[in-house]
Amino acid sequence: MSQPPLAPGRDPAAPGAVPDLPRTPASGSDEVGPDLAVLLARAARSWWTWGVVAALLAIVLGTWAGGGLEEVPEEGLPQVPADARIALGPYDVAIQGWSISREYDADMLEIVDADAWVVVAADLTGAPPRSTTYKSDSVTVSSLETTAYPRIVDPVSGDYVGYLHPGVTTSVLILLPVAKADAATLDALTTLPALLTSYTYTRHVLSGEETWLRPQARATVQVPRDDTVVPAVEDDA
Amino acid sequence: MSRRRYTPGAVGTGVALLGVVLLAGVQEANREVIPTVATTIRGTAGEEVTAGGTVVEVGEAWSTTVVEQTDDITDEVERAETPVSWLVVRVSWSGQREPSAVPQYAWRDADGVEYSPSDRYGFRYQEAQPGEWWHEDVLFEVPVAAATAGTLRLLPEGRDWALPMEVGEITVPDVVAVDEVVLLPTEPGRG
Repeated sequence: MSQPPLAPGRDPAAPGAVPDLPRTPASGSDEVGPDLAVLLARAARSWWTWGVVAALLAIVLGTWAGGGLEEVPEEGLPQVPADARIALGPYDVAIQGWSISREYDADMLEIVDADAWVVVAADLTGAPPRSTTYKSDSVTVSSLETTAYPRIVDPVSGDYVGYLHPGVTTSVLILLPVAKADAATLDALTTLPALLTSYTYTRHVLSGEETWLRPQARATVQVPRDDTVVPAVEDDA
Repeated sequence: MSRRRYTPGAVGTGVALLGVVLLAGVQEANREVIPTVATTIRGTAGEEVTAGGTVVEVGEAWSTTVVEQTDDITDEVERAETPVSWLVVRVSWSGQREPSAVPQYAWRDADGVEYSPSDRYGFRYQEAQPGEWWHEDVLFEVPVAAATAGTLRLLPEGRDWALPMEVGEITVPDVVAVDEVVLLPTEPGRG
């Protein structure tokens, strides 16, 4: 059977012939883009897809089995007396009292952009196996966002307390910087609802370092107000 | 049938990539291997122990409840008491082959519990030249039972320390109990 004659200029071998351009499907055609059904079928056959799905499921189920990301309700925690000595892992804590101050270390208040310190007086006794530094969430106040990390200082000298040593009790002031609105609310309280968080000494899964990890809400304390815990501020003038 | 041709740009990119791979290989082959596992060098008080490029000797060690020290800046004399025990270890050091000092000290008691120096200890990181000696009193606050005997540990700064990781451990078998210790500042000479 003979071929139909080509239109003038359509013979690819002919001199000056115009090559075929890629075909662009007409608008609305079924041929537009890759077929979604084909892509889904191909993905369903890939072990990568099912591997990622299985890994995600394992993460979700593991998180759920481990207690989930939900905050531990404080209602379920034991409430301990304020002066009781509670083991938090790296150290034991015994809280003496609390107050609020806008005058104590006023320069630092400005630096941390706070209106006042919630001052918590406590005794911290270090635990084996080694000296440690204070964990910022060991003593917090329920439902309170501080403007910066707490500072712990010596009640007499006002110096920053670095290390807490095993078997050694160190009296400290825990200074929690709070914003103006929170300061006004807290100032009206006679007892401070404090939340204690403990840590476990374990090996870090990535670095292998043995240290205090895995924070866990441990107990709540209703701390009585005691304005004498704030050291007198000397007027430089 | 069309035939692919390599453009000068493609050839240049390929040569550049090959060069990078070769350079990375040369770099890896010549890389200095820094041990990440610490070597422990042990000794006893009164002996010279060389760890991490520093020659260290522990002289005497005392336990007390009162220490007195002079503030470097104000020259004020401060007395500090503790309900537990101050442990004062007099340490001398010298550079081994270059100026050096001990980056960190720790005290390990007989039960293996480890104590960092007290906040009252004014760490200066004073480097000593080879053949030149400096000394100072390292101060710890520890339970009474931990201040009878133990080991002074000489710790490197971190895991990526430039020198090979070496930890010094100097056994201090006898700590002398005294009423009070006047702490020496960091000074030249052997303590």
